[in-house]
Amino acid sequence: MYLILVIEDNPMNRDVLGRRLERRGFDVRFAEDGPSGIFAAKTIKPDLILMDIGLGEMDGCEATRQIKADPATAAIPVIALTASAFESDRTKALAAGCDDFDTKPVDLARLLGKMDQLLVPGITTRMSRAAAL
Amino acid sequence: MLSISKTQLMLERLVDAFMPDRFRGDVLSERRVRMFLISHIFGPIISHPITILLMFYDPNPWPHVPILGASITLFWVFLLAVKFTPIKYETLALISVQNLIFAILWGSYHYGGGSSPFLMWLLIVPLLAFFYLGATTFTRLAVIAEIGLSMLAFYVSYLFGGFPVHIPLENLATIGILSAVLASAYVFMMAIYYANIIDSQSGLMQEIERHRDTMAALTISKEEAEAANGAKSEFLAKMSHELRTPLNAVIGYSEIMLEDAEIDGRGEQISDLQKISAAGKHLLSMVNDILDISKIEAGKMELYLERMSLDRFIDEIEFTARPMVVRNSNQFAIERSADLGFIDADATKLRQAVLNLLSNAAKFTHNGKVTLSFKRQLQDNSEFIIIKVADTGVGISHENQKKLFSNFQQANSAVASQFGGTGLGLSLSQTLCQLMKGEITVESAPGVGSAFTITLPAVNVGGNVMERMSDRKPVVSKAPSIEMADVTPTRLNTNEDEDMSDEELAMISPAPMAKPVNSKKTIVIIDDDHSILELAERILSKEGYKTVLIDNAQLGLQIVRSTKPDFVILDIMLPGSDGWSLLNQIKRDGNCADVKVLMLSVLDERQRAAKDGAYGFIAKPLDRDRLISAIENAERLETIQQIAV
Repeated sequence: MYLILVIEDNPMNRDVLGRRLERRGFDVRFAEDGPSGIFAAKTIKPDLILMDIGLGEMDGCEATRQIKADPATAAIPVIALTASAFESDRTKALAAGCDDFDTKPVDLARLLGKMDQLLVPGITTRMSRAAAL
Repeated sequence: MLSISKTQLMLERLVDAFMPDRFRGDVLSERRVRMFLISHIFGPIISHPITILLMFYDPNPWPHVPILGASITLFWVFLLAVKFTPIKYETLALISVQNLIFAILWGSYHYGGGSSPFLMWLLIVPLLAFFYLGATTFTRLAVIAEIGLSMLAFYVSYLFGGFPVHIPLENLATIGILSAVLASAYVFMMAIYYANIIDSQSGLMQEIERHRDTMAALTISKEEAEAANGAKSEFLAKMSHELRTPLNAVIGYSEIMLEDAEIDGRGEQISDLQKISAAGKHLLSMVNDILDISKIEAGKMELYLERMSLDRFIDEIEFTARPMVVRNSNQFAIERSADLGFIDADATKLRQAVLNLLSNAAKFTHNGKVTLSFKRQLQDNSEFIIIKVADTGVGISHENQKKLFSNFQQANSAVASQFGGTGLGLSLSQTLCQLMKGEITVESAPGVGSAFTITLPAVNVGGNVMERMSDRKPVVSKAPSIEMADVTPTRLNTNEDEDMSDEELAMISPAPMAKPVNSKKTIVIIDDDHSILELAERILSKEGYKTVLIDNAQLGLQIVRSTKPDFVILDIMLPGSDGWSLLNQIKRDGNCADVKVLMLSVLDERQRAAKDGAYGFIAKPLDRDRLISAIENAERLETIQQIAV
């Protein structure tokens, strides 16, 4: 089972996204802000991070930059999620090191497609997880 | 009779003729020199009548009258001296003032002395001196010195010999009166001329001042406008965030409840929840449209031109649009010419425009046909891509066609209430196409149907497509993906129930590791839905696979046996027989038991597929990513059982 870390400050968005992902067989963990997200990334080593860009004090771009700067977490793919669809936000998110970008409200099929593409290196993880089960 | 303005004009020309070039453009110097020139042109003209009269009146005019005449005539020499000699203007002006004082005092000395009618001319000396030179300290001192010393000389010569009497004082009355009139006329003329210059110059100054004010005002309004524009953009970004967050919850929770209701079989709630979800998505699309239009108006719409394959583009469009078009029992036909090739365009924006036209066609057509056609066309030596969306729907009257591309304009309010929509879509699509140097045109007849045509230059005229592409930070993917990251189709009608088996996607068929060499691989596709067969064939043949398309189960087994393909893609729901029994037959047949079968279904049948010996599972709706990644994943994995949970 893939382990997904959702870093999102809005409890409603966390709940919706989390439940919908769990329903599709993902193991979902949450962090409510940038610093705890960075910590969680280090400790639980998720297969993929869904990063809200519009976080509080430390925004998603900065959190992504730190995650990508740390060798322990640099390989974890990050998909930026933001409510604004401006191209500049997309550019900013990608410049910060996000591997992909999607807008909210989440179009689940589209997001799953993007996650799918990024989860490829996890195939060994997945097989070992399956073996462990 | 010459009009005043004509006289003035002639005078100006005369003055201009003597104006040295070195003073032109310097307002202050030019004004002084102008006064100098005009007084020197007219001074002798006005004062010579006196000299001439004196020649007649004075019984013995020699030599003092000719000396006076020479002194007066000397003023004309100054005109030439200013224009043609390098002598400094200030020096000439002071000499001229001295000459004037001399002429006045010479005349006064010989005709009346201290009571001479000519003495009054002395009044014009300081006036002219300041006209010529301005009231600087040096001018004041110099002029005072000139007058003082000259008066001193005048008085000394009186003390040492008295004033000569050429004409008795009482006989000078006529000349005295004439002199007074001429002196007045001269001062009058100089004063008027000076006033004119001051007026015109102060007019000019005022004009300059006004311009300066206008410029300042303009700069301020420009800054204000820019600030307002910035505020508008910021407001839009904020509003976008604020509106999308609650929308996120509305759409998200309604879809969770929809999934729950579907699982629990609460049919009566499903349609209600679908309505909530659809309304949320509609609202979202309106928010997006308004944002897009505002971005365009603010000049903030960024264009990402890239050279893209039209065939791929059409596949994506078809995948996205087909469910939407066929919903109203419409046929959906796609026509494409063989030579389509590439286009330089912003894929996202072009997709948005085409999907918008298709969405309209689908909305306004029932039990009819929607045709999407693509062709390449040569016009005026340039290649154009013509994309046409034609329908057999309600049509648009000629009058309403004109209003189509304006914001918030639908054909009429009845249309809006019947069909919904914001009225922004067409205007937005038109603007998007114009951004790409193209346009949308319409032909329509009420009751017959409508045809919207997008015409775009095939090659970007700027020719900097690659440059622009390099500006764009590529999406980094861990996988050496063969895809551009943004080709995932944007779906207009996300129907979550079709995606029930997306977890399969995550579990079984991740994206491809690398572009495979597929030249020899054969894939048999068995599905009764011809559109699926066509789609799969198009995708797979482009990837280099050989494909065999079969639309019934009976023929399926024969073909699999005889061709021994590398893969079989097998739909579970087949008329007459189901996919499971066919899978079973294939697996038990000694000739083809080792053929890898990928089951295809809208239902979550992963577990059963694994149990029954299928090699993989592909979730419908079928798209390129799912298909390719499922096949490539299958190539890598030994058996599906290894990873089955």
